[in-house]
Amino acid sequence: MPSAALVGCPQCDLLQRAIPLAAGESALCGRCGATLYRARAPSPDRARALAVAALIAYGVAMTFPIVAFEVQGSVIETTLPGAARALYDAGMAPLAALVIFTTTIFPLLVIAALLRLPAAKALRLLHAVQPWAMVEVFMLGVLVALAKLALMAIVIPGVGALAVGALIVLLAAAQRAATL
Amino acid sequence: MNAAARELYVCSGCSTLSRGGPQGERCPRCGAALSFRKPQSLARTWAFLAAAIILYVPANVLPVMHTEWLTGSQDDTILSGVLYLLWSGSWPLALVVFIASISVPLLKIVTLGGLAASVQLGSTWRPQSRARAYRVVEFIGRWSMLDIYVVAILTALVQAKALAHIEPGPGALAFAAVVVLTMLAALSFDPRLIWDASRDAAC
Repeated sequence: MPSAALVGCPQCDLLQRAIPLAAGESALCGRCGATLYRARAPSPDRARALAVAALIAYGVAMTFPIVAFEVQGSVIETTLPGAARALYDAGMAPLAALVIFTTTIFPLLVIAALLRLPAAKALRLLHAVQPWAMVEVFMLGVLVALAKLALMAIVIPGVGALAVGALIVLLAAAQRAATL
Repeated sequence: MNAAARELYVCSGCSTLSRGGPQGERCPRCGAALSFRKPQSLARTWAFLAAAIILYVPANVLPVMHTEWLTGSQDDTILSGVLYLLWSGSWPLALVVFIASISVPLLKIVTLGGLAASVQLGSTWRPQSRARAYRVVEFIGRWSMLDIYVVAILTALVQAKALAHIEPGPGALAFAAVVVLTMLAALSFDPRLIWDASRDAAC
């Protein structure tokens, strides 16, 4: 019978005996070095609380401008969905779909899954969607785009960018609380 | 001793150890389908990898971005975008984009190809290093989407009003496909296969 004292490494399948950990420690696989478990057990309560905060940041991140930029007195700004919309308008529908899925739909699914923990379905959804939610990569993209534009105009980071920053931190903390 | 040798499943999603329930081979904690090894792991990895290698060429040769001014126009490839950042003085950003857009995709393709080949050939060469290489590839893969987001933001911001006009180029589509395909290849690869050929597996 699988006893509670045994753990299987998810990356190399080695069966090992679990040992008690001091606060802040992680148990690594003795063979391949993958993380097996941490001292702080997964806490669905913490994950849900952080997910509520993430949902608020998400709402702001989606509706307020990420960046604005000023040329000859007129201001042009874009929201996160607006960036995907621009790709669609330029005739790149598949690319627009990829951007909208990785930056808005999948992150929302991650939040929805976190909110419904510890239901089995929510846990499964979380693991399926996690690799494809890429808000933090988008944020780095904003930074690079700003650097490129700074040469030809005045660029102003918007409220949306701040909210995206908050969303990244909250999502990371919530996912960390939910798994391993 | 491997879990599989004891007929114990390690859930691919939540790592829970189980014997497979009476309601079929489902994880008792999260309900994910259980298998001792990812099904068809090598074949799927090779297929995604082959598609990624083919698209890697147009992704780097075709322009990812087309810029038009009153006085002329310019096509940018992934590499020329990095060079632009370098010349405009922001070399730290140029380095970041170079790593994310040029090093990482190439490194991923080479590493995953090497890993799949080593498993296919039953290699016992330094399984620990190969396991670590897989973890790195899995972790950094997503960051290659960077350039796609840069093009999206620039397209949205630089419209006719700005005295210039930016449009995505066909290379962006190929590049995005390479990123997605290499991520799928990494997700298809089962790192447990690395250890199945090594002597430790028998003990």
